[in-house]
Amino acid sequence: MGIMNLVYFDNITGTDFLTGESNPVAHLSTPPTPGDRISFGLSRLWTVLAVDHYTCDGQSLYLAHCNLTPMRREDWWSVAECQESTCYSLQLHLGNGELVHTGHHRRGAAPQVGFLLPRFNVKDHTVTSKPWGVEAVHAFHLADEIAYPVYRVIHVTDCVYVPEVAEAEKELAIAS
Amino acid sequence: MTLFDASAETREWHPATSREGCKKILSRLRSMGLAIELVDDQGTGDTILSTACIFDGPDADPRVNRWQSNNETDKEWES
Repeated sequence: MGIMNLVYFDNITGTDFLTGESNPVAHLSTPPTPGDRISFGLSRLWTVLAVDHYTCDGQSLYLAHCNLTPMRREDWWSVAECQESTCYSLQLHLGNGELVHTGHHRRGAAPQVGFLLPRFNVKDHTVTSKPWGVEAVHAFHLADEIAYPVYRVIHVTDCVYVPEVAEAEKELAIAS
Repeated sequence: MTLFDASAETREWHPATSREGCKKILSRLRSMGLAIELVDDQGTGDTILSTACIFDGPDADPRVNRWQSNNETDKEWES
């Protein structure tokens, strides 16, 4: 499966990143601990406030909750989001071990095997397909009960690159 | 692998600068009297409009233009 000690660094606020920042993933031999600091792509550093442990078939996934300043867990925006839904889920789509797409689903729906990932084109508000297709889905659940969960389940997918879609995209870009 | 079928999509997609922005769009749509809920959000890869907010419900319409600007309306009036 290739996702041993996968760590996803999440933003607890849900607000704008600065240009150049995004949620990183890492494959670490040991999970991060509260107080660790990490870059989301720029020089400013985010602090790990808490780490949740998820498991699937003996594999571990660590969700590191990050913010620029300390905040009580019960006050996190991400906790409030989860409390609005009984099955709030995070979707992490990995291609060759790298994060190629993310999503959050409020009804807990799992990604479907055999489908290409959607691409929302912000310029013309259309939805097409990315050149990555879902080959397998793994559902990670919390290893222990916690008071203020952020995601009930995390769906991690193994994605395969589909070069035909990438070629079609290039041709469309040249034609337009 | 199956392509995304835009013609079969019944949900309504709007871009936002953040996940919190999706909640603001939801409030705006509901203030218009629409029976609609936020069901999903997806990354776009865009550096500014980084989030695609996806809405579903009886009034969700993937083909409607909710935010037509006054400028565009003016053009229609002029023609």
